[in-house]
Amino acid sequence: MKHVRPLNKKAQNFEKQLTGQPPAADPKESVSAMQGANLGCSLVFDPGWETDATGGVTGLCQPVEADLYGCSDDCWWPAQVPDQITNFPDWADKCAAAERDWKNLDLLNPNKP
Amino acid sequence: MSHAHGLPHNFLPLSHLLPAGAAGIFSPAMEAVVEAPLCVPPDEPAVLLSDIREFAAGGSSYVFVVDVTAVFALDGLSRDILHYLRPGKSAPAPATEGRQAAGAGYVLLKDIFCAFEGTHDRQQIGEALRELRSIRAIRFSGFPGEEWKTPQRQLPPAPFPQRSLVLNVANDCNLGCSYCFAAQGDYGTPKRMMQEETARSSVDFLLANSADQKNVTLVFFGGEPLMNLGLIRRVVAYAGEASAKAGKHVDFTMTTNATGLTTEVIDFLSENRIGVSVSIDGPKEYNDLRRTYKNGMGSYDHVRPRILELLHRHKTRPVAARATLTHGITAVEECFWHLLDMGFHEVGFAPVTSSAQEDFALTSEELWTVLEAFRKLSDIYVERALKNESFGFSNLSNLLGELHTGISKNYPCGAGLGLLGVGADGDLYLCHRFSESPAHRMGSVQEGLDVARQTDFLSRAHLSNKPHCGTCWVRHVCAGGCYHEANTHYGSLYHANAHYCEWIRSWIDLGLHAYARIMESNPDFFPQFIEKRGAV
Ligand code: SF4
Ligand code: SF4
Repeated sequence: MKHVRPLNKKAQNFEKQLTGQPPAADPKESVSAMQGANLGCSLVFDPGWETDATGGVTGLCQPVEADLYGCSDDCWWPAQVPDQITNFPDWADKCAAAERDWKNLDLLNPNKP
Repeated sequence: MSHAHGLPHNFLPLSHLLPAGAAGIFSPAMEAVVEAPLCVPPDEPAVLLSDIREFAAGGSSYVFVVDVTAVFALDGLSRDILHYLRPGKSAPAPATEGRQAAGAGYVLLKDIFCAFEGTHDRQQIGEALRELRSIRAIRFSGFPGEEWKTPQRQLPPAPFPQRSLVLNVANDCNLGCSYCFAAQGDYGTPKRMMQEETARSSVDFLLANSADQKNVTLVFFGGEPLMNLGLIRRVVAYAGEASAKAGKHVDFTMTTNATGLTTEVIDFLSENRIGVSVSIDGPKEYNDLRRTYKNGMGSYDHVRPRILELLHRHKTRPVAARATLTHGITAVEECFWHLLDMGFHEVGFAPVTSSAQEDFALTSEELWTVLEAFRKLSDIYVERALKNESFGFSNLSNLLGELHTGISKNYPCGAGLGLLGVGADGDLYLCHRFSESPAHRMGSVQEGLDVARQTDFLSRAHLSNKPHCGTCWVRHVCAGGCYHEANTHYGSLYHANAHYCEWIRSWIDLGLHAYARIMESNPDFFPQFIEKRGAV
């Protein structure tokens, strides 16, 4: 933290808590666990299919491409991209880094195997 | 595959609402959506102050976050933001037109950016806001998860480990101090001595109920404990054996009027590392006002040589003086220096604020005189601490210890919760001050703790049941104050000690200032002098 500095022990513990510890993977806390573990769920904000005021994506808080992954493997959101767990495991093989290779990702038609 | 999720229907992407350039400064969860808030138009994220106490010390600014008892230092920007959010306070020369929202203290997020963007870049403003929020000094309205929730009242886990027992080993006293809460030593019940059987059961009870606590404390109290010295000798020996068997350590302390000290007694205390706290009120003229024999003769001349010998011979533990401040005695500094000059390692003051008998309580005016004296002693304390020297003003050491740890209390003290009083016959009481009071009995060392009564007490005594304290900024430090004082003053254990709130708040404020000054210049003081003292 830059603007506030912990003084007493409680404040120091507080800061540790804030900066450290990945959230517990307790199923009861699935919502908050997901928010910490990946940024790709719609409960968390992926700016996704938006552009900024200039029509570009650089001003957004995450690269637009993050949404592509965000909506696939570990996320429950089923609609926007292929599901890589059961049906299209190879879909992203040509896309090692989404912010660079996202153009290699192609559309799929599940009716045409 | 699907998780349950409940998105309120009125969510909008925050990116539409944030001032340009402010995106990316909040957590993803907060940026996710924005809920239509109640008090500002639905499209306007706003900020409001949480429960904080801001203070300045030694030229720097600090914030004490009430709910978590955490102390943070602030930089200029975060301090100015907090000032800007204060209801009714003017903003620090906002660069553009900034508006303080009326009423609830909401300020629109965009107005904060407006107010500070002349002097700081937006990234910094956003960062400062995020940090203030993460330490809970401010809240955002209109973000999911930011709603104010009534804290869940949680009772301490049962069974709560016993740490200390205060034994009324002698329900009698050879003095007859007029202000004594034990009614001249016997609590208004027949005079009698605790029997060895009872004392042994007390030790067994303490060891058996201390769960995984390695160190427990046995306090010899009375009346005047030295009137039952034979028992103390036997119980110290027994506790030594029993604790060794249990793999624990028993610490002994005693509160005495010093009349019964002899060379032999002092050597016994020193050999067994028994911590001694002597009740004495200051120089003769003050001490003898109320600390008298039953025939009215003052006790000072009799105890002084005994105390000097104690201070000289008892080498194994620091010896503390405890002075009771009653109506008419406010010469705190004079008493303090007198006792320190005698050679006490520490001097602590107990101001009496309620009194059942005659009017021994300090008047409100007297209490403020006492506070002024505390302030002067605290200043000396800080000066010494900056030179890495200790200063034996117990009241401040205790407070600094609490503030340093940041312990957040829902109960004012350990009474009924790790600390219990044991009457002369082995009955357990809320604490030593309630000894021999049937209404405050909680079982006995022979038959065990009355858990139902304890639970009932803890659920009623919880801070959340003290409406008076609900908005007080020291509530997690004071937690309503001593049950005994409350019972005397209001006839109920569960009442807040509302008659001296202003005083307590000023005292804790004083402590916070002292804390910040010492912590900033000599943080090593705390591990060296404060953490070692342990719980008092
Ligand atoms: S008793 Fe008074 S000072 Fe103590 S917490 Fe309650 S309101 Fe605050
Ligand atoms: S109730 Fe009062 S006298 Fe008893 S332990 Fe608590 S603060 Fe001390």
